[in-house]
Amino acid sequence: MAHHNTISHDPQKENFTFGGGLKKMSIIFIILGIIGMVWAYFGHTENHHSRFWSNFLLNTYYFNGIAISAVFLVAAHSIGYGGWQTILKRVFESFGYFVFITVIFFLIIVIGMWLDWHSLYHHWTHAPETDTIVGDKKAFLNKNMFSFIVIFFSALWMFGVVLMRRHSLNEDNAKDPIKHNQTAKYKSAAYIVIFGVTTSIFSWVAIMSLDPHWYSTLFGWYNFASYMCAFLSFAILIVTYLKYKGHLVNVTESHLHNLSLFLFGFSVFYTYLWFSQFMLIWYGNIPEDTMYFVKRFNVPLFKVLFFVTFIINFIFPFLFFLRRNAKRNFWIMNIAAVILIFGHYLDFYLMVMPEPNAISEHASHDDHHASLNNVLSASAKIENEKTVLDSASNDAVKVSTDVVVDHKDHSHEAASSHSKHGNSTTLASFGIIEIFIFLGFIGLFIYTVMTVLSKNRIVPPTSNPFFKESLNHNY
Amino acid sequence: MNKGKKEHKNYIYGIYSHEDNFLNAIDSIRSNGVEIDDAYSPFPVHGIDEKLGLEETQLHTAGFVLGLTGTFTALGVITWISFINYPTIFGGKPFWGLPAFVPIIFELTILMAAVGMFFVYIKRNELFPGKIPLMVDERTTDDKFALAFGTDDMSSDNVDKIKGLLQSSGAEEVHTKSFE
Repeated sequence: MAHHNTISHDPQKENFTFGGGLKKMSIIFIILGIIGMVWAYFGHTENHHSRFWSNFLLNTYYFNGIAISAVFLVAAHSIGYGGWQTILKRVFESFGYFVFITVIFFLIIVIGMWLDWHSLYHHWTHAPETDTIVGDKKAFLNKNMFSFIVIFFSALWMFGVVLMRRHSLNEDNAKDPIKHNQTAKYKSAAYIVIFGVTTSIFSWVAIMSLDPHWYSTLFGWYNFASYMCAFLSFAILIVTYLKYKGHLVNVTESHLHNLSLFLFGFSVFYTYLWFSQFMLIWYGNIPEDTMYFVKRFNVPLFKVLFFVTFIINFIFPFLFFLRRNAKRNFWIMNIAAVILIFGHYLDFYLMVMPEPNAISEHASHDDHHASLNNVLSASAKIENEKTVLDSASNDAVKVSTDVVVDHKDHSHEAASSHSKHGNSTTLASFGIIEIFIFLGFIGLFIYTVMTVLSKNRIVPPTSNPFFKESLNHNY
Repeated sequence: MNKGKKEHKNYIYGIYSHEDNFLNAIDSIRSNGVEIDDAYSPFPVHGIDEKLGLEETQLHTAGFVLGLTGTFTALGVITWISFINYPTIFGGKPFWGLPAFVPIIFELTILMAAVGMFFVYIKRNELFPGKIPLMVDERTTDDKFALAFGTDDMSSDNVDKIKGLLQSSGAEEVHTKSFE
C-alpha cells in the first residue's frame, strides 16, 4: 500500500522491547509487594487478617479502575473523532489488559467471602436480624449477587478491552483503513456503555457496601473521577518513558499538553464531587449520613489524610497546572503525575480502610449505635437551645453565640467519647506494609502493561485516517 | 499588540490571494527588519501570531487576577454578612461555616473571571460598540489577505522601500489608504 505521507517514519522505533531498568524495577516492586502481603497476612492476624485484605481490596479496585478507564479514554476519543490520541492509543489500550490480573484478585475476594477468609463485607454478610437497614437491601446485597456482579462485570471488561485492542491491531492489515476506522465507533460505543454502567454499580458493590448503612448517590462518579486522574498520571509517566527510550518520536509537547489538560480537568471534577459529597452531608447533618465522616474524623490518621488528600488532589494540581508552560513540560508533569498517583491512592485508602479494620463487626456495630445516639442527643440539645433563643429576643446575637459555643461543646463531647472507641477500634495504619503492597501493585501493573505493549507495534499504521492529524497535532 | 496599537491616518498595504503567500510574505518582510503594523485575514490563520512576532497574550493573567478578586470578594462579603453584621443560626452550623460558603465563593470566582475577561478582551481588541474599525480593504472580509503599514511617521523614501518589499514578497496589488 502506497503512503502519501511525507513525514519520515522509523520502523525500528515501532516495536518496543520490555527490558532493562524498568523491568528490573517492576520486578523489585513485585517482590516488595509480596513481602508486604506476607508480612501483613502473618504479622497482623487480627480481625480475619483485615490489614492484608483491606489493602488487597484497595489496590485491586484502584488498579482495576485505572485499567478500564484507559480504554474508556480511547473509546471516547474514537466516538468523538478525536484524532490527537491516535499515535498514543495503543499505549492506552494495553493498560486495559490489567483487568486479566485484577479478575483473579477479585475472584480471590469472592471465594474468600464464601469461605469466610476475610471480614471485609461482614457488615452485610453477617448482619444481625435486627439490622433492618441491611435487611432492606438484602435483595441486592447478598453473596450471590456480589459474586455474580464481580464475575459478570469482569467478563464484560475483559470482553470490552480485548474487543477494542483486537480492532486496533487488525488495522495493521486492514484492506480499507477508512472503513475499518469507521467501525471502531460501534465497538467504542458498546465499550462506553459497559464502562458507564459497570463502574458505577461496581463502586457500590465493592466499596460502598463496606458500610451498608451509608450511601452516597454520587459515589460512582466520584470513584470514576478519582481513577481517571490516576490513569492520566500513569499515561503521562509511561508515554514519557517510551519517548525517553526513543519510541513515540512524534509525540510532542502538544500531546502532553492534552493529557495534562485532561488531568487538570478531571482533578477539578474530582474535587467537585469530593466536596459535594462532603458539603451536603455536613449541611444536612442526618446522623446516618454523617457517620461516614464521623468515622474518618475521629481517628487522627484518617483526619490528617482527609485533608492531605484534598491538598494533593486539588490545591496542588490546580495551582501547579494552571500555567500553560507547566502543562507542556515533561519533567514537571512527571513529578506531578507521581504525586497524583499517590494522592488518589490516599483517596481510596480513606474509602476502604476505616470499615474492615474496625476491631470486630459486633464491636463496631455497637460503636455505630452508641455514637449515633450521641449525635442524636447532641442535636436534641441544640433543638432545646433554639427554643431558648426564640424566647430571648432582647439580646439575640449574644444568646445565639452562646448556643453555638454550647453546640460545639456537645459535639466535641460526642466526638471525644467516640474517639475513645475510635482510637482503640481501628487496626488501620499507614506504614511500610501499605507502601510495599502499593508498590507491588505498581510493579505488577507496569510489568503487565509493558509486556502487552511489547507484543505488537506501539504505533498504529500510517494508513489510519487520523494518523496525520495526530502527527501534526500542534497548538 | 500588548504595547497598544497606534492608529495611523495613512496606510500602505499589499493584497494577497493565498494563505501560503501571505505567510511567506510576512517572513520575507520581517527578515528585512521591517515590522508589520497590521495583518488582515478573512479567517483565523494558524500560527500567524508567532510569525508576526506578537507577544503571548496576557489574557490568562487578567483572568487569574480577576478570579482571585472574585474569590476574596465573595469570602469577604459572606463573612461580613453571616459573621459580623447579622449572625444567624442555620441548622446548628457555626456562623463562619466555610463549607457552606464554598459554592458562593466558587460562583463569584467564575463570574468575575468570565465577565472580567470578556471586558478585558473587548477593550484590548477594541471591539466595543461604536468603534469604527480601520478596514484598509473590504475584500479582506471575503477572500483576500492584506498586510498594512502606517505611513504617518515615515519619509517618502521609506514608503517607497516598503512598497518595493511588498511587491517583491509577492503582493498582487499595492495600494494606499487614508482615513479621515
